[in-house]
Amino acid sequence: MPEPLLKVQGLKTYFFLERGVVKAVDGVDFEMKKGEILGLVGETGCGKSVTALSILRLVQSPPGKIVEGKVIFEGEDLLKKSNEEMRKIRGTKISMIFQDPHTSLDPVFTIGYQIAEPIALHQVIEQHLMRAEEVPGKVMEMLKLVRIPDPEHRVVEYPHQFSGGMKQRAMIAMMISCNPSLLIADEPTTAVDVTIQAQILDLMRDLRQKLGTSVLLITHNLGVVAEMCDRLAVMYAGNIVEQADLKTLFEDPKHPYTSALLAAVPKVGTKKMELETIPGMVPSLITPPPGCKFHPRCPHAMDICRKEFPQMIEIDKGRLVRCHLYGGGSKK
Amino acid sequence: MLDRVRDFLRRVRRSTTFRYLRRDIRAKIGGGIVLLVVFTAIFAGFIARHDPAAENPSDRFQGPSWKYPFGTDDKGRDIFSRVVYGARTALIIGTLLVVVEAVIGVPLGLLAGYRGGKVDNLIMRLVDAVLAMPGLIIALAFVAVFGPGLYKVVLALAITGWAGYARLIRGQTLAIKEETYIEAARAIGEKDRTIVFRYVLPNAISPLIVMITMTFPAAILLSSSMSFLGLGVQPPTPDWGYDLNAYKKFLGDPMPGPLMTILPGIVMVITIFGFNFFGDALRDAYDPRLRE
Repeated sequence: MPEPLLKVQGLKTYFFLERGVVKAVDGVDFEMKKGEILGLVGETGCGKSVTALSILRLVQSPPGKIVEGKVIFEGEDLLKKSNEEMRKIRGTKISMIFQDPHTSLDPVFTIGYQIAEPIALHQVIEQHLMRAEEVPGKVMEMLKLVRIPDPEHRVVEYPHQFSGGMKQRAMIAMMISCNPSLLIADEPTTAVDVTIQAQILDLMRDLRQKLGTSVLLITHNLGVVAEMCDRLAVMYAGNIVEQADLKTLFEDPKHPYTSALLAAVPKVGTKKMELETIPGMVPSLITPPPGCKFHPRCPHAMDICRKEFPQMIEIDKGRLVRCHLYGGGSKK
Repeated sequence: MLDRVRDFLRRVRRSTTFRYLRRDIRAKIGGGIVLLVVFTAIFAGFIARHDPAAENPSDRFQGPSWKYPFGTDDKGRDIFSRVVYGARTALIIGTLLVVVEAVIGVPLGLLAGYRGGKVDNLIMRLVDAVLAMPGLIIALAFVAVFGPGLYKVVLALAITGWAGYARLIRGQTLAIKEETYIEAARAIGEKDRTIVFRYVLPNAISPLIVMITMTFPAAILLSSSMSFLGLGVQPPTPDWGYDLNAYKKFLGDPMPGPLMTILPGIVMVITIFGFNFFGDALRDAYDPRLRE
């Protein structure tokens, strides 16, 4: 098996607040292969975004702090890098697309300027891969790549003159302009409407094909996941509770949380009038329930679930689940 | 080589700012007045017909004439020449004060807002202390100790004036640094210095311009107040505020007439108005969101 592109091991990111310590990410492990699209799914507040920010070391500190773990990217632990080394990795090797395209572009600069910025910074000034004269051409090339119509005129426009979908595409252009090997997309389609959503997803798939970029797609939208991802990791209250490839997970969810999540997706063509919900509330991350964090909401909760935190078990190749239901004899 | 990138970036970035400014009526009027004042200040020597400080006892209290377009004052000095040279004093004081205050206040504000924590606390407590002091009185005390004069007046006013800039920019920085585009700038690997000066500062430019357009006329007024108390710009240097105060004694005299005596004040008002107008237009042009 080839060396994975990204390997996150035992990552713990806590926020130290006056009310207590918020264990936003409490021991997350996963791997990503080159060119793979991994979906990270879970409810709001389960630690998806913090996981992403931790990989780039962009968690606000204070109050946030990565307390433990390793983020091994291309064979090197990012958490051991100096700030300056880390800064050079951002934008060139790992980039991130944010949720809301309306606020993630600087309103006082033109789109062209903002796309030129990372190219000039990394490719021209730091790495000397490109000459300054080539920057404008590269900007146009990026705008065409993300299918901005009429790029010659659009390049000198400001973000407020762009529609949401175009802003998100401009954002993508900015983030992939230095050919990163990993693109983290934090709910890239939440703030745009459904038709634009399809275009954005299409574009990202296309880019994977053309540039071989791996994508860590963070979302709570299972529809998006079904369309895009090769593999899935389901997160609950700061832990990954299940990992499998897309088809297996959708057809045969093992963890009760995953099953409940899938059941909550309304299905077209069924007569059922009521929407399926997961009973209970997302647990507090300051004082999570003892044992399995899902047990208060779990229909299959057993005695052991209240006492012992379940370990990740590999029940099949590449099929991981963190649940006592599959414990005991099936441990391999 | 890098200059070419910067050129391109500048072109792309500013391409619409000045095109917009040219269309703005306020920019035309305000800019016209500002240009006129600047022009007058620079070429005062060619425009004025007399030495503004020259006293001609035989020509006291003259009405407007070809020789003295706006008449003469109680010492026989040409009012027109004094007003023309006064523009120079006003511009020097206004510009210097704005520059000194902004050069001290803006970096401190950026530092406090962006770094936060102890640095922020230290700087802002100093700002609080400075803002608690009455500006004009501190300035007068400074001048009383170090002596009056144009540059000393600027320094005296800047002692307390920078704090306003620091506070304004710190507040802006606090708000702007939470924006997603700052996070995005980090995500593409920008340096902190770049983020502060090329992302935060341009986004804080419109309140800064407003602040500058407010300090500029205020500087002219404050320096005039100090001149009045004999602790500002020293006569014979022509100063609008000083002259206005000096001329009010003969406001009711038939010659040179009331209009001529308040002329320095009228010019001061028009100048301040022009700067404010131009400042407003500039602010809108710099901030693309305010254009529509």
